Amino acid sequence: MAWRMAASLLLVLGAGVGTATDTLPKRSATYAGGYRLLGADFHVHGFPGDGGLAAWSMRDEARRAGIDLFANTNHNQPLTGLFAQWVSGLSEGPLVIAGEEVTSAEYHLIAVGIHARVSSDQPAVRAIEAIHAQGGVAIAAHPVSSSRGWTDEAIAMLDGAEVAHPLIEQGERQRQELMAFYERGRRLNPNLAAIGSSDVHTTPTMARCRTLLFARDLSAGAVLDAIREGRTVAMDYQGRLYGPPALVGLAAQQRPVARTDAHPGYRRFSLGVGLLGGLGVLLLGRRREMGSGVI
Amino acid sequence: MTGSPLAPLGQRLFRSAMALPLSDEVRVALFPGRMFAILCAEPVHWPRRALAMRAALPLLWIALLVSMMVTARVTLGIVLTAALCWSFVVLVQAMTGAVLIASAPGRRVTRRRALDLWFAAHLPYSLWLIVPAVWCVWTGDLAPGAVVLSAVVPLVWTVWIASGYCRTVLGTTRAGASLRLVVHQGCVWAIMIAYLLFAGGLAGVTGYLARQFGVTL
Repeated sequence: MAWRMAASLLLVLGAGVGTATDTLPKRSATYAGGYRLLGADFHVHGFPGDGGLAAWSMRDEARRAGIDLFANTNHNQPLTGLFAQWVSGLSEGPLVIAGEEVTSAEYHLIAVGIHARVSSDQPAVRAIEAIHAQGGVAIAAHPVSSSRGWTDEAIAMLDGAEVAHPLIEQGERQRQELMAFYERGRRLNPNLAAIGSSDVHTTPTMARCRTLLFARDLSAGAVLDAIREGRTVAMDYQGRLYGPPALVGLAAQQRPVARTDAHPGYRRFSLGVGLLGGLGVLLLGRRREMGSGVI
Repeated sequence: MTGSPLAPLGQRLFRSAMALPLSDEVRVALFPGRMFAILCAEPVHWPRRALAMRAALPLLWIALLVSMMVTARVTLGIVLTAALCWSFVVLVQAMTGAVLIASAPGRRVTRRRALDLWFAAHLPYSLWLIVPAVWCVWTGDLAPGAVVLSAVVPLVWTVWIASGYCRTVLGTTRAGASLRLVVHQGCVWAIMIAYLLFAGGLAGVTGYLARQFGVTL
C-alpha cells in the first residue's frame, strides 16, 4: 500500500499547490464613451445539463477569465441558468443572467434574461417573440450556413448575433459566414448587437470569445438595454474586434482585462503532479503472492 | 487458458501482474476471471469501508479530470464540487450493479461484496477519460468525434471484464452472463441517452456534431 499512499500524497500536493496559488483576480471598473465597459460571455453551458461546472465554480472561472458577467444558457431549459442566477445573488462576484439556448434543427437562439422555458418547437420568429414577451433579448447562436431557419423577418427581430465564436478557429470560411450573417442582420436591423461568445461546455475556454458592452452600470437591466441598443463589440480569440466602427475604436483604446493566470508555473505543476498522483492511486497497490495473501 | 498455446505466456503475465505493486483494478482489467476468483475467496475485514473506498476511487478520478478539463487547474474546491456534481455517475453504476447482482441467485459472495467487486471494473473507462481531459487542457477543444470513436475501446474492454464478473462472482453460465450484459448495457445507454436528451435534446446533439464536422443537416 506504500505505493498508493505515495500517490495519494502526490495528489494532495498537486491539489494543495493548485488551491494555494489560485488567486481570483479583482475587477476594477473601466469606463469609455460615458459608459461602463463590461466584459461578458452570453453563451455558457453549466451543470446540471450540458456543461461541466456548477454555478459557483462557473463564477470563479468567470473571474479568472476577466469578465464581469455571463449568461448561463443550457439547451432548451432555463432551470440551470435560473439556479446559477439565484446563486450569484448570494455573494459578490460576476453577475449571472439566466438564459436558454433555444435549440431546434432549424436554428439555435440564445435567450438572455428570461424566467420560463422558450419552446424550440416553433419557427424562429415565434421563439423571438416569446423571448421578448418575457423581457429578454434574442441572439442568433453561431448562425453559420447549416442553420436554415433564419428568414429576413426573424433576423430583423433579433437583438444580437454571434459574430465571434470558437467556430471561427476551425477556419476562415466559418468566420466569413458569421460575419456575412452579422452584415445581413445590420442591413435589416441597424441596432443589431455584435456578440462574442465562448459556447463553453466542458473545456477551459470561458470567454475565449467575448462581448464588450457599453452599459450604464453592472446590472441585468443595463446589460440587456446595451444589447437592445446595439452598444456592443465582439472580440474573438485573437483579440480582433467586430461591431460599429465608433465602438470598436473606443473598445480598442480601453479594452478590459483579459484572462489572467497569476501563477502559470504553479498551475502547470499542480496539474502534472495531480494527474500523476491520481493515476498512481488508480494503478498502484500491493504486491500479491499467487494463491495466498500479501507479500 | 488451459489448452491454448498462449497459456504459458498468459500464466507468466498473470504472475508478473501479481508480483508488481499494482492495484486490484489493474489486475481485474487484465485477468478478470482469475482475479475475480481470487477476490471472491479473500476475506474482507471491513466490507462497508471496502465498498466505500472502491466506489470513491472512480468518483475522485472523474472529479479530478473534470476539474482539469473545464478549468485547466486542480484545486480542492473544484475537485470537491465536481465530485458532488458527478456523483450521479457512481450512483447509476451502483444501481445498475445492484440490479445485476439481484438477478443472480447463485452468486458466490455477499451482496455487498459483489457490489464492491462490481466497482473494481472501472479501469477501462477511467483510463479512457484521460484522453479528453489532457486534450482539453492542451488544446482547449474537446474533439468530440475522436472522443466518441475512441469510446469503443473501453466499451468492449468493460463488457469483457463484466462477462468475467458475471461468470465468476455471480456464478452465471456463459449464456446467462451474455443476457445480463445485454440488459445492463441497454440500461446504461438508456440512462445516458436520457441525460443527453435532458442536456441538449436531439437537435442540440445533432447540431453540435454537425457544426464540429461541418455538415449541413
